[in-house]
Amino acid sequence: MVAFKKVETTVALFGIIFTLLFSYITYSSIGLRHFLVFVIGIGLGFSLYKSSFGFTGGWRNFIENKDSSSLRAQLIMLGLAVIVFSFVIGSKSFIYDGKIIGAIAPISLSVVIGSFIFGWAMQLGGGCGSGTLFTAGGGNVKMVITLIFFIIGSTVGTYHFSFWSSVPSFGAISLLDNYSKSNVLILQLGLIFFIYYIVSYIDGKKNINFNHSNIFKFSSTNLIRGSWPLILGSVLLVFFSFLMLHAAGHPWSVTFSFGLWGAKIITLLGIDVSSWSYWQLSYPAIALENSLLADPTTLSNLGIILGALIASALSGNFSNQTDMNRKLFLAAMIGGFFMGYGARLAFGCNIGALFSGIASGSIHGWVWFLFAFIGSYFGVKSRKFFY
Amino acid sequence: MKNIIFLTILSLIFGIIIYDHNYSGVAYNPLFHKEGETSGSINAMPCGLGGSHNHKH
Repeated sequence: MVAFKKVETTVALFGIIFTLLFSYITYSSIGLRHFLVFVIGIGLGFSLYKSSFGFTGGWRNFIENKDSSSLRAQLIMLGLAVIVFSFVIGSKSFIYDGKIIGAIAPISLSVVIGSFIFGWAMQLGGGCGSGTLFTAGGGNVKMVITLIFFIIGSTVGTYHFSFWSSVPSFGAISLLDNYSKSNVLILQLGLIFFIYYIVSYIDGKKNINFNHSNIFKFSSTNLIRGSWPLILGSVLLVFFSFLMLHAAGHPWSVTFSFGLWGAKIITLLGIDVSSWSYWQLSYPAIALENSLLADPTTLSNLGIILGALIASALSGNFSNQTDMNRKLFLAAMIGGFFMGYGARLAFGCNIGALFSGIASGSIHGWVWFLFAFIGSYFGVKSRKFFY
Repeated sequence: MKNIIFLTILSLIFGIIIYDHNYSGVAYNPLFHKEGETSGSINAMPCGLGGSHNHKH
């Protein structure tokens, strides 16, 4: 029998009130699709928090201890997403009258450098794109510092955009545009299965208690107050990503909004960012001109923060905050800044580039995965100085 | 006490977002398809390159 902590009613009420407020604003002054993106964000935040689904800790556990649990759950999630996305991309949404597009970006030197930087920095910052959001929403002060510097780094990344967009590139390659659906599925699922096999083999050799089923075990039958197994997180994140495709018209993405938030803040301070080449591109220019709530990544990120906040309050864990010291503060600053900068170079983070990129059949997602993992290896080594 | 400070800061951030919404508004709804639009060419992925169909390099 698992003993639960007391529900933090004030925090839960705070989360519910702001959820209702943002739901009302988005639905009444923007439209149904924006409202749905926000609600999907709530679901993502709740699922991420309850299953503690983070890339950073999972990769670190594998690098340090050869514990593949989290990595295997991520690979299962990726496999499921590859199947779902293959059928959804290019089809018509059931929510609006239009086609759904994938997360396709160029394979360039900026992706190699950016993903390496991101992978290194996320080990210092203590969370990836989605991880920073749900842990900050869950009341972790250190991750709020990481998030602030994530925003600063993203903004600086947009300032340097013209330089990074001039580096050598092979252009964007979409597997789904070049090969049949069945071939893409065989290729992608085969590669995912191969990685799954390798990490399981390494884990099994090192850890005597290795068991494939450990990511399936429920610690409690109470899904509202107890923690969830990783596999439930994997399945629900794919489910909410499927809904996101139909509501937003594109895959789940996180870090675009961080640059946008930073640009809005420095605009308030009197700096004209609209002259920067990044903010003259069609999508960013329109996002900058409009309300933040018109941007779907802002809405889903707000949803993730509030979903995680409500989940943590219901679990009674909101108050479990990390004690800060100077070294941790410095790690959060450096990690956050370089994650933001790296994400802009690499056309996204572990969600927009790795998860959504690979699931969409974009080769840049695999490049991102490889170089971010190498970066994380060095990040784990660097982390020892701060933690 | 920590919770109160945390929630106050979060309220301030949410307040700024709502202020921005009232100030900037949504003059048009450009980030999504227009109603009735079937072409994927105007849709965009928020990776910062102006959309998947607009990658120039």
